[in-house]
Amino acid sequence: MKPAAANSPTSAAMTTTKQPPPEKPEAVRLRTKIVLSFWAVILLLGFPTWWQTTSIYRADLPLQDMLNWAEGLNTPTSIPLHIWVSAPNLPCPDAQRIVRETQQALDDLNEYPTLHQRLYLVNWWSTGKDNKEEKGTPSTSCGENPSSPDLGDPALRVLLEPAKDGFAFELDPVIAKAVVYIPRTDANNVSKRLAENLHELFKEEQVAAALQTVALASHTQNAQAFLRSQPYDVVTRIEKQINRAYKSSSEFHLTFSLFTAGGVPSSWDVQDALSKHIQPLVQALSNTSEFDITTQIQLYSSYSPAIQPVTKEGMEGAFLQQKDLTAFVNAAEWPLAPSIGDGPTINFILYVPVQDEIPLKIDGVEGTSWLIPQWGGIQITNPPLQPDPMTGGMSLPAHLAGELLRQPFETFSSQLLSLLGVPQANQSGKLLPLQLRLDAYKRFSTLTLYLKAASSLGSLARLAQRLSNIPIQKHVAELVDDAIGNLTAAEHAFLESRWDAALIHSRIAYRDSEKAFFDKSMVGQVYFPDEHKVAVYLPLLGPIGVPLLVGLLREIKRLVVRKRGITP
Amino acid sequence: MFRSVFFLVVVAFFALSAAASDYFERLTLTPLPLGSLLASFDFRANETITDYESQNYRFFPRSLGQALRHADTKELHLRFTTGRWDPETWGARPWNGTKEGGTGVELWAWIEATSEEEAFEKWSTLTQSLSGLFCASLNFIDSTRTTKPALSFQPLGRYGDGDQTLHLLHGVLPGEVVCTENLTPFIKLLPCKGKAGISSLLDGHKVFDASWQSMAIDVRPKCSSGTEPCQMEISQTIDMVLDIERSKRSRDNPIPRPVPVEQLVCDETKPYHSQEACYPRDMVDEMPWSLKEVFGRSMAGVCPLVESEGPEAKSVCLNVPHERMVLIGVSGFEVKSDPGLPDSRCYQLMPLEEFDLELPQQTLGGKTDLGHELLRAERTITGHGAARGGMRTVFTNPSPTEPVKFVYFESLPWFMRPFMHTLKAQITQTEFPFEWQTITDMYYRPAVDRKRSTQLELVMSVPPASTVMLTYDFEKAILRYTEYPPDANRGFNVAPAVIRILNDTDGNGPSDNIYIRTTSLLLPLPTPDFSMPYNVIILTSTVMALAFGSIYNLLVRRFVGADEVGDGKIRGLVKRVRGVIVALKDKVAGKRQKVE
Repeated sequence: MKPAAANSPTSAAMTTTKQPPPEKPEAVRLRTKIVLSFWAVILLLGFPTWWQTTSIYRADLPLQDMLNWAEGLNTPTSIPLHIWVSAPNLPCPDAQRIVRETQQALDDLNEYPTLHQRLYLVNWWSTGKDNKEEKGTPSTSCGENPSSPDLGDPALRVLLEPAKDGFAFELDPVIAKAVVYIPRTDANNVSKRLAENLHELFKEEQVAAALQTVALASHTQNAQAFLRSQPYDVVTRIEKQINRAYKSSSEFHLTFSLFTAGGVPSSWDVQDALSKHIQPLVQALSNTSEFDITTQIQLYSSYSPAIQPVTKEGMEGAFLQQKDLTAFVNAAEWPLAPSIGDGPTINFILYVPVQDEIPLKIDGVEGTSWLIPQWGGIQITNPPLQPDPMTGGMSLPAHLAGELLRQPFETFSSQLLSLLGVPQANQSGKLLPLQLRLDAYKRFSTLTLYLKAASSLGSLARLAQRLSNIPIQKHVAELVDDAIGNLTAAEHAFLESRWDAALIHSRIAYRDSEKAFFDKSMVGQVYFPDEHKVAVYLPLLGPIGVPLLVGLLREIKRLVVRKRGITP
Repeated sequence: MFRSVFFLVVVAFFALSAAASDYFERLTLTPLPLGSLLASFDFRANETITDYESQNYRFFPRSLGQALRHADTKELHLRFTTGRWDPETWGARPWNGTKEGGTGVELWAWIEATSEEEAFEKWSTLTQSLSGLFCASLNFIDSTRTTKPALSFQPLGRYGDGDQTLHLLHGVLPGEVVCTENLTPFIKLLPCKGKAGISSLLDGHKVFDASWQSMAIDVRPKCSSGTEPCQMEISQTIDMVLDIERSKRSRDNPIPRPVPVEQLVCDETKPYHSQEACYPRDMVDEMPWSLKEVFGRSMAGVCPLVESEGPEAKSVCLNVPHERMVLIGVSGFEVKSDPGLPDSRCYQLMPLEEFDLELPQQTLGGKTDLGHELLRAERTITGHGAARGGMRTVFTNPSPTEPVKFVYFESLPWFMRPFMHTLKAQITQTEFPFEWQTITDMYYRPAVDRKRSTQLELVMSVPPASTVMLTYDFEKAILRYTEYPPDANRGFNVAPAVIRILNDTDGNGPSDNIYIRTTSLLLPLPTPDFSMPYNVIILTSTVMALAFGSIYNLLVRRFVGADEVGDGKIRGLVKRVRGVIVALKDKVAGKRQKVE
């Protein structure tokens, strides 16, 4: 080589004359076979093995179905609210006519299909009474049998009674029942007024449901149109109520804490106060959510040090500024750690100030309690000072007796209702019967859980589509299937207005969909960057791939040249 | 010994009167030789079982109560310890060692469950919630760090009905660094929260500056046989040995400075003593100190929850001889112990007033008896190399007359594989003339790789005035790449061994137990270079590429004679570049010639 290169200008001309002998055709064919078999091994054996061993397991998710749920394509077109009407003392055709006309009037009043009232003539009144009263009243055969499966759960039972004077709509103060007095004379007006009353009764619930639909679902033209048709102040008021409340959950922890700024008082009659004021409510709400109640006493737990109460001349005690109320909670020192287990914690704090500050009041406001949205309620109490047996001076009592706790716990119970989102007084300031409000809360949280479950299924589907390298385990797919099954069941229950069943199914669907979305096994591979893969593969693929590729290209070139050589 | 008698008396006394009050706290101060001071903080609160079950927490901390309820834990013992108790200087351990753990964090609990699997599941929930509560890595107590000791621990609680199935689980984190972030939640559990009472003396800077400290939390149910309802008791203790000289340094100027010449106490008997040369004399006097100097602050009154009268109201006690001078202000009064009992004095404090006590420098004749340990244990790793090692534990019984019987418990990590056939206990030094069987019983559960640790419990006894050496060999496992911690070259922590000394008069109840823990060990394992995987990839790829390339070329290339090779593109390019270089050279050479 070297001598040849050294005197290249002259020898080059000489060597070009000598050519290698022409290649034998079988040698050429053999080389082609070799190159092709190498590539065959790579493509048929190497590539599938690599694919098989490095692929991430992704269970099949019904992605389109999940997105459909999230976008509201699968949600029921209408969620009816069943109202049972009974008229034992009216002639049957009259009752049927009133029901028919009222339904018509209701349909005219409002077209929003969610929680739309639907009247059924049911002879529920007679079944309870016919043992006592005379049998064979004409009305027993009027209307459907209350045990019929199509009727679902009634949101309200209406009893139509004939009356001599004008029309009257009277709600039972405790249970979900109304008595309507119908004058015999002016029958046409009756249906209209009844429809208006019923519409008014459930309007706010419908607004709340529509607001929640707008917030959680994506296809909401119907709900938006309905909200636009409602008065603005009603909508904003209900929106505020919803924002103040905790998100619906199947479990809540209630923590009642006595925080005292000094060393006394150090005990309270909390068990009595709870059983008087809180337990009945919890009992009534128990079919919607589970409640776990804890109480604690914490001494030397003063409010946040950033707050400086002011004193006023001529007035006893100290005053808190209204702007300070939001900063009152001393998060660094108060042991309000969230409870263990599922579900959020609602805090109720009874605060006893130090003796120098008694009575501690809020500047410009009458009461001493306030509510922190989605957190809990705070109540300042100023117990009366007692003579100290040891020193003789006045001091705070060491024990808070039941009488002192009555007013704070009444406040706590109403705060609890508004923190849960149980509807408060309506527009006219009238408080509805508790049963109606609790039922409304149940329906609202069912709907919320249902919408949330659907929307987290959608998020999971989008996540699975967007991130192609996250593994999806089999149990995630099972959870998704389970959630979809329960959503479907809940949908059927909605259509039949069976709210208890709907609540159970929505709750399971929500739990499963959340579990599926937050499954730990899906985060494992997300942060394995592609550069690392290149760094691992390149040292092998570079040196091996180049000769293979070059060999293949050369073969292809030769084939092309030969073809061109033959064709012309 | 006297001090442990005092502790026993105190414990027995409280056992009698515990039902009377629901909250009790006491600080016991004991000066130790060489200018050390043992401070024992003891807080105890009771909650009736009905209030505990209905979650109305008054003295019991809600956060801890919820964690325990959530995991169905009936009895809990949690220890945070740093440093080493020096038995030769400081004597017997406080609380007979029952309120301390091995270095790091130690946790054991009795959990109610129907099966072992369920118990372990609840144990994981418990460790996870406690880890959040105490800001410690307790959640790292997984199955490889959990053992189920059979002989070493006994439930301290009294349970009302006997039909519960309780499972004891024990976990250790020897590498955990205990610090202020663990003390803060500990103080938050106290009803008076460091704002009043003895807890106001607790300051992280001082507690963790101590030569040795141990924080303990014990929760147990207590049922008396009488008509009294059952109670849940939570007992929190902090014991620490402070170096008085060190603690007295001010916080803003902690750097030690040389003592000024005029304050030096010189030994004037030395021949070279002069103005310039001073041989410092040993400090034979008792050190002067006060609460404020040692703890950095004085005590802020009394916690209002403690009894205001009676023996439990005295919340500060001092174990010093009666002739030692102690100065206190007007905010407390002193009660000295009755003659016959070991010398001590206690103080009843006034509420809402700061309290401080001051001990001036004083020369005392007699030496106080600090007691001694019934057994001394030393545990070391022997051997060399990365493959094998040995464990050696030396037990010394200092008593000239009494043998010591004890349970020796150790849990070894799974990557330390002991060979049990090499386990040997031999008496190395004795004045005892008769035959003696050292190991009387053994409970052994071998490790399962990555699942379970080795658990070894030996019932042993040491004859009087003898030394027994327990040895065995082990093999070090090679870990997987991802199993190494970031500081792998430091070594792996091996949990301390726990020694429970069995009393001959057994059966009187758990308070008779004495516990000793050895120091924790550091086990070096074969540690790889952590860039290894990439190097291996590169190297194998290169070798494979070389082999593949030559074989492929052999198969595919056409071989021709050297003179038959035509000019390829590259060869032509090389030739042209050479030509240009030669031409340039000639040009330069020509110019130079011209210049010359």
